[in-house]
Amino acid sequence: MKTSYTTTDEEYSALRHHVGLIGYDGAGLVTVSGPQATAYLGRVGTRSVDFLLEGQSTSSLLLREDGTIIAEAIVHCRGTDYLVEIWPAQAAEAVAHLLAAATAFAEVTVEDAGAQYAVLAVEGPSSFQIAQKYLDFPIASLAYRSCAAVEWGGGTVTLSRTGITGEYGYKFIVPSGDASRLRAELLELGAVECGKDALDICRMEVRFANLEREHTGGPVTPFDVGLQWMLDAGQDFAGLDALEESRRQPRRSPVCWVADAALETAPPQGTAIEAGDAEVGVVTHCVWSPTLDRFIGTAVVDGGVAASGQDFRLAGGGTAVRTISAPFLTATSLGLPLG
Amino acid sequence: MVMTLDEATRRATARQDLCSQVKQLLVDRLSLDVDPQAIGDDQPLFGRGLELDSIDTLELAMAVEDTFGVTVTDDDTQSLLSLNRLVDHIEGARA
Repeated sequence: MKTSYTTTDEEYSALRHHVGLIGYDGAGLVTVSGPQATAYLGRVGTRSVDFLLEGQSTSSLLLREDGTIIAEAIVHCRGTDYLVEIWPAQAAEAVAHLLAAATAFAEVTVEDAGAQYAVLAVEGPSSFQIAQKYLDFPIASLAYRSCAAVEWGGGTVTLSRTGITGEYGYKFIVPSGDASRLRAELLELGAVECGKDALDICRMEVRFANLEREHTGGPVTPFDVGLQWMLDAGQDFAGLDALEESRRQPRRSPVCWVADAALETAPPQGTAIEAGDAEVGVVTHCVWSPTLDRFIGTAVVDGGVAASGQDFRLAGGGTAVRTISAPFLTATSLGLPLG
Repeated sequence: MVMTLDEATRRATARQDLCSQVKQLLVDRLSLDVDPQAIGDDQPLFGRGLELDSIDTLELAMAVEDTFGVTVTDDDTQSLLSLNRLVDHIEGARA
């Protein structure tokens, strides 16, 4: 994925106020089929897919045996198989992990489909108007976390309603050979190409954890980034034992913070956060929010002081930061009816 | 004004207690099959997250009013974007 195409401000504006086009170059795509497909996905992922019906999607974490996160995957149920989609930065390890895990299941077929398909997405408050052009039913009927097979350009495209900006978002999983033609068509329809930097700001603003950037220098567990709610109770997934042990250990908790307007440069990852003279945590990620006109970020802080509404300061410059409740802002799409 | 460690600890204790009460309320009143302590403070309540629906919203609003004496109306949709946002709403109304 490219960092940016024009400027981050322009691309951010497209995502928040109009429609941005995202090319997920290098996304991981794996097909899973066979009688043990559901059992396999319930073992390699932290969430059960037993309940998924054809045309529904869910997200699941792929964990290492030590409980740290390899990737957050989206699992699409297509009827005859499942299609597992992985963020580009984590694709290589996640795909290898999924292929290796399949050897423990006699009746499952797991195939790397990354070369067969490309992933394009439109996100933004106007994105549904573009997506509607590819559907022969009202766009409002395509619920969040669902997908449909649509005929386009002589082939079949999987169109799903998923996204990470908090705005309306639709993803096209298209045969690789047709991707450049679809990209050109989406641009023609008004979408503006957006890179990772603008996307990163939007996802922070609505508190979608960025596993690529939100950490303190090493692998993170779901607890470190506030994704423990993606661990299904009663599910015997890889990494569970290590997480149960980790749950019993004292650990810092993730919080969101907004910096005082006086802060002029982003604090580096690892910058200490203080209460009085005591260090109580460290910054894990920070971006500039054009809408809020200040730096915003995440941190992990000691459990005893972890709460929304706390007034801390950054070590060094001493700039004040206040922990706040996610999301940082309300997506533009929230007030817009579909259709 | 930056908090002292004592102030931060005292306030966090009270806030965490309120968050725990709201998590337990969610689980009990909506019959959710989740451990209340597994609900994250910043976890979304709708869509991604707890995946509540509009019927749950009505039940949740009644539960919050019954338990905390705080109303949640149609104009308070932003207070339902996460567990923490809901707790902000309760704290603010009770202040």
